[in-house]
Amino acid sequence: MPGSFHGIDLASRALRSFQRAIDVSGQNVANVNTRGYSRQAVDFAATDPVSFFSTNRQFLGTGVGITSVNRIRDMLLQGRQHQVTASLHQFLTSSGSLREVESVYNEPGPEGISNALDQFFNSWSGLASAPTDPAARMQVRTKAQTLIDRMKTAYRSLQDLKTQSQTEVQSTIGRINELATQVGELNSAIRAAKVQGASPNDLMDRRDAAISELSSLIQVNTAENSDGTMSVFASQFTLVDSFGAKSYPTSVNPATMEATDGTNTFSIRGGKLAGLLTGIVQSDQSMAQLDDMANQIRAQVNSLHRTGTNTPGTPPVAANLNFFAQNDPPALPMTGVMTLNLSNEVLSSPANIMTSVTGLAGDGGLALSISGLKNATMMGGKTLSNYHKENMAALGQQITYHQGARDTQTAIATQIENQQQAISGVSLDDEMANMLRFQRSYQAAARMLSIFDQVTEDLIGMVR
Amino acid sequence: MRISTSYQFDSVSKRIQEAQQRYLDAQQRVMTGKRVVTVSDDPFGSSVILNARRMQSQVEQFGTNLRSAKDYLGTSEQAFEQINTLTQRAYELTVSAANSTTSPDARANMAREISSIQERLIQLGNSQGIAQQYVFAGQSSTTPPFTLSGTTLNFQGDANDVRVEVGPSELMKVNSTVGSMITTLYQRLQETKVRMESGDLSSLSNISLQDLKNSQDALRLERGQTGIQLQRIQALEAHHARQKEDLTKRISDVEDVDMGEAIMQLKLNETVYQAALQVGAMNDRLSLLDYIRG
Repeated sequence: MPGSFHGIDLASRALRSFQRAIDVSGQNVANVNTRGYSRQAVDFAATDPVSFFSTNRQFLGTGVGITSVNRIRDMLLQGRQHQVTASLHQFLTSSGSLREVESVYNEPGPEGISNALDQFFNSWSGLASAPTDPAARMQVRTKAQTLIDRMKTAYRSLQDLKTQSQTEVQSTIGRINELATQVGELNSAIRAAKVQGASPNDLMDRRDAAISELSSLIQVNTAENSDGTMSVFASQFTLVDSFGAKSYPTSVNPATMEATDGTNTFSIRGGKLAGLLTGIVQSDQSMAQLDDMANQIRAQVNSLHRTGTNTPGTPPVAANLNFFAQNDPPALPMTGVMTLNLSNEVLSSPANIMTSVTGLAGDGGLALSISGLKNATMMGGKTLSNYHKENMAALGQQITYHQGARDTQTAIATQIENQQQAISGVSLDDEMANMLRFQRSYQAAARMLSIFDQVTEDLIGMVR
Repeated sequence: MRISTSYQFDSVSKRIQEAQQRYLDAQQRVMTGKRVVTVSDDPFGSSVILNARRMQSQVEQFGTNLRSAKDYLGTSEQAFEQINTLTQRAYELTVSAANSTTSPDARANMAREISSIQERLIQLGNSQGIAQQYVFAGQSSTTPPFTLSGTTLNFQGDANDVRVEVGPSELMKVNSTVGSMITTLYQRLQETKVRMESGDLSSLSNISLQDLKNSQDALRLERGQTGIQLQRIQALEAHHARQKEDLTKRISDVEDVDMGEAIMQLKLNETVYQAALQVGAMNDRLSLLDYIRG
């Protein structure tokens, strides 16, 4: 049975509700620039009616109440967003790293290894044509030194890139663990709030932001648990569950794209971490290719150069001089770019550069053979310069692919972000309209209250 | 679609940024004039550039090699020309010496001139090119090939070919093997001189004249060879110049920007950038806030 002050109660409930609604709009306006903030909306519901008896049983409304303050967010879209963020950042990082690897080579400019290689072999042709000319001899030594320098510079830069990427892998894993811990802590706070029946919207936003950053580092899947906590998985590794966070293993194998904690291995998919690993693998591969080239150049040039002689005689006696420094068998042969140097003999005097098969000063036959190495298929059926060129082309294609993927993922990410923004983003126009509406509603409720007040006053005045 | 305020501003600033980026890219292309700076700018094109550059540096090397070939052949040619003149002079001297009206004094003078011709012949036989190489020494080109012992001229060089790479696996022989020719000529001059001194007129006219004529013929043959080689070098040089030009153009076609197009692009991007800025500025002016009485 509604009492005499039913109307006043009803009006005051309405005032309170509209007041809260204006507050929520205010909160939305205040956070218009906050990243990851989801706009909040008030759910109004008519409060439970009271019954009274007229000719039969009737119900009378008691006004309005707020059932919940919701955050407006599309969770399905959000899951999709995490996947796309992971791919986007993977390709952002990988295309960046690959471009850095590429820049090491200076190709296809005249400052590249390719040009140095051509000029080195060409200088031998020059020496073959003028074997008695000391300038031609110096030219061979200079061009050889240039080739060595360019290969070593490239190799060193690749090593630096690799080290840098490795450091970054570790700091990325560090950040992943920090974020996982954050998610774990937010999980506890959210669970505690949920137990009290509240909806901790802002905490959930912060958790979403943390997971969003997490997915830019490594691809994660999430699952919401019944107690409001969120479990986070990076492939098979459980990063966060309802009990808390676990540290991601720091031992990473770039070639297999796997992390291992000693007993189990977990494949790394997506995110900056995967992108960094692509860069490391490419650096390794490029260094191995340079090593192969250096080894072949050293072995092939030396094996011809050693047969050369500068003392005429029948039969001519080979001088057994190396052009590039090389340990004589049976000691271990030198390998790799970093040990590619001119031999001490050639360094001490250009006269020790052999040009001759017969030993006669005007014979350039040997130099011509060495120059001919440019057309020799020594790199698995390819000439040196073709091998290098194909490696460059392959690298270029890979970069094009990664950049293409990056651009595609950027477009998708933007689209999803726009969709999410369309749902969750705060629109000032919207909020202003809402505020006007709630203000007007508040005014109406206030007017209602004064009418009920008058009615009540009339009632009291009646019996005077 | 519902438009959130941050989307409104974000998308404007993103569009402005994109337009600016495109504008800067276009600017850079115009300023550097290069379309391909790294391999990934155009992997296929880079491959073409690398190939062309490789051929270019090879052609340049062949050009340098041709210079040393020209050095060899030019020096030889000059020596042959002078030897020819000397032989011609010796022939003329012999003709007058064989004349019975010539006095013995005059013959003695002629014999002395033959001596100086012999000295000159040795000098010419030991001709050196720019790189200080003895051009008639075969491959033993660091030691003078002709040395005199007594009245005999000895050839100490060898008969090996000196070859220069003038094209892809194309070798050109640049030296002339004239050791025996020159020593024979010297020998014949020596005999002629002795006959002049002894006044052996019949041998002078019967043997010496024919001998010198034979030497001249042999010389002409070598000189002809050298001339042919020099002509071939000229043709090759022209070919290399054409090839180099062609390769430069081929590299430029792939590597360089088409200026007209690049400038058009720059203008277009500039307009887009300006438009984006203008739209962005307009965007600011629209808000419900302006229409609500305060």
